Amino acid sequence: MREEMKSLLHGKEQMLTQIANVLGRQAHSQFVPEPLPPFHWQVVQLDSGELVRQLIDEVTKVGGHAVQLNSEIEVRAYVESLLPADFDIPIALSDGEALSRLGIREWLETSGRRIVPVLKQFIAEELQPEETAPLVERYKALLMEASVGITTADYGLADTGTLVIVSGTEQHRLMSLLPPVHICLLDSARILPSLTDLLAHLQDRFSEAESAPKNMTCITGPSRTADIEQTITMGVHGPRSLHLILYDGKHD
Amino acid sequence: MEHLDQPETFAENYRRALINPSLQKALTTATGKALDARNHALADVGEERWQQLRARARAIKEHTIDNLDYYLEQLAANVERSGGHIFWAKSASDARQYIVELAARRSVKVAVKSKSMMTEEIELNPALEAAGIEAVETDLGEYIVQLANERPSHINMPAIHKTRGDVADLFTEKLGVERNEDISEMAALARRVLRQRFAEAQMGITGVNYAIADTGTVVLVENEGNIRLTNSLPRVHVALMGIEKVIPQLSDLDVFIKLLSRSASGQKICSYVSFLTGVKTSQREEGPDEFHLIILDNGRVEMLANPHLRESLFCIRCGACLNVCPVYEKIGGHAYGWVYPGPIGAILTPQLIGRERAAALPFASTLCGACRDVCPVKINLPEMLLHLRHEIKETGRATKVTSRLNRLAEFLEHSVFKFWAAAIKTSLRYRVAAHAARATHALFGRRNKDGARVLSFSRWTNTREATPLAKRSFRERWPELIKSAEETAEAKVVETIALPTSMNNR
Repeated sequence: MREEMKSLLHGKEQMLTQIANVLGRQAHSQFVPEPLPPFHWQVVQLDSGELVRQLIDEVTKVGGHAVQLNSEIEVRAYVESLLPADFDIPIALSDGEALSRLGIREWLETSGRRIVPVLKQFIAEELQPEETAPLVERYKALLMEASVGITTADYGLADTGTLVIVSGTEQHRLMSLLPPVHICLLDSARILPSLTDLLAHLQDRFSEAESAPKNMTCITGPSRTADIEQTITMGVHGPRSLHLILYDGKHD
Repeated sequence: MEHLDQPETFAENYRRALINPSLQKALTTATGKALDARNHALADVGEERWQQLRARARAIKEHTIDNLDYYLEQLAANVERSGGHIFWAKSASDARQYIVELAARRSVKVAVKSKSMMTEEIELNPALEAAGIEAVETDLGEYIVQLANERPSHINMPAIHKTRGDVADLFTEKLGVERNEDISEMAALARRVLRQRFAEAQMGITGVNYAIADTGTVVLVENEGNIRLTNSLPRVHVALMGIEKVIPQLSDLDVFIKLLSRSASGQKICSYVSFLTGVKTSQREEGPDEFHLIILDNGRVEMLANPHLRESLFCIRCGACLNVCPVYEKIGGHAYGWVYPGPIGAILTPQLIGRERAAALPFASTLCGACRDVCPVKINLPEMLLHLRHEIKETGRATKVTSRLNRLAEFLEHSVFKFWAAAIKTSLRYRVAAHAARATHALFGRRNKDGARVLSFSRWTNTREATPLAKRSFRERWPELIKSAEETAEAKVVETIALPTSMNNR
């Protein structure tokens, strides 16, 4: 093991020194480079109503569905219309806070449907690591059977029709990916104009590696491929359909 | 593996491609569609703003490459701080060995892979197979190519050379299903088959689109979702990157996403952009238990050392130079004989596997410059192709490996250019030479279809009409031309003076 460590260190030192040398420096990384001046990318400023309209437009353009709903009853009715007729087909429900707040969790849990919860609810806290490994495998298999995944998103990006999910408070990495239908709820107040704004915003929050989220995904439309004759086909690996429900977070 | 084209047999490869009608059709359609999509997306951005994006992306690449040691060390430190492992691989075999040994230690039987040119470059799949580990490609195009025992023929459209009929035949043969040419049915079949493989796999292997030094984050860009499955489901995630993939900070990513998605497929942003930082700390969290990032040199430090070729490291693998290249459009990706095809392949291949093996590739270009114009990071591809030609010729001369016939040809070429240089030195010599040339054509030339006599120059005129020399040179015609131009100008002056009067008359 010590030998291995030595050779690893050697590999790193050797490569970095070689790079420094060909760049005309004796030793590597002896100074902090002067960063580039910031880049200003001009975009049209939109008010919140226009951002909502743009997001809906763009999600639609990339093959997704998007609606803005005003009441819990409307949200519930819309979600219900997307659920399988067969109550034995499992549906996956994330632990997103808004799902409880809008009453979706309670409604679905008492509906008689089979619900796949998030991983941290599936695996009890007190289990030992060797006990959890087979459970994790069972969990993945169960999620693959689910026909619908319901999650929330942390941000929306208006100019590209993108939903941004960030690991941490909610476990939506697998639920937004494995089931063929993804239903995603987003608070209208969480819409940013573009990726530029998102990255600038995160740059300030996560410049220390410890605080960067382990996983963040920008989702734009359903899974697609054009690998056979450049013909666009939806749902090759990820969800075949994507439904965005915009709700008013202040309203309750 | 079945027969694969090699770069040494470039002339045979492209001849075979040129007489393959289904390949010709597939190439024209695919490159045309991709280019149309790109141009459409660019029109939305507008020329001026597109140029701003390109300039910024290039500035970031230049800055990062100039300080590559600093940013790589920062990246590695941050990946390790968030629980990932770093392996510094000098060569392809170092990287292969690390992955194979890791897979053996973790008792991996099946490894799922997302499309990665880097794993093609290090020829990972045969190494895994030799160790008894099944490597399954999961990108639809790459899966098709793997089933057919072929190489990808495009950087981001691996099965560009196959028609839907070819794919249907392949699926029938290899998967034992009933033949179905419907594209969405075929995609659904691949989904079902590959889901099973994802469920079994203990290791996921991906490339890296960008690595953020400041946060230790690996960024992956895709449309299908197979990269997300590959890095989310198996217990171990291995990502491979060339040393050039690092960028300083999160906000630098913006221009690259804008440029890459539009250049590759005309999208504003690809379906999925994943940001991965470190690994989980508890079994109740999602994602893999282990993350390994392999930082690979494999000839790239040498590219960095050569000021003429350093720009090779700026490439973001969008594939636009392939789609726009008149040579690629005719011969396709396999003819280039190795992993990277098209104009960028003609630059990378000689540097990665040796100038001798890939000596023909830099010459497979008309130097029309279309690749430079579409390149989102403004890589001067024609200039690098010229430089590589120069290097290859110089090495050939130095090592005297050329045949006697080649040396004679070289001597003749030199003499012709010496004569040319002498002939154009003074106007008298030029006129005499021009007269001599015209006389030679008249005496020894063959009549073309218009009856003019033209000398033929073997290969050049085999496939093209040679243009006969004009009976009188431009210089000889000049006095007449200037005279008639002056007459027209005078007439115009008369007209403009006359105009107001006629308007008054109205």
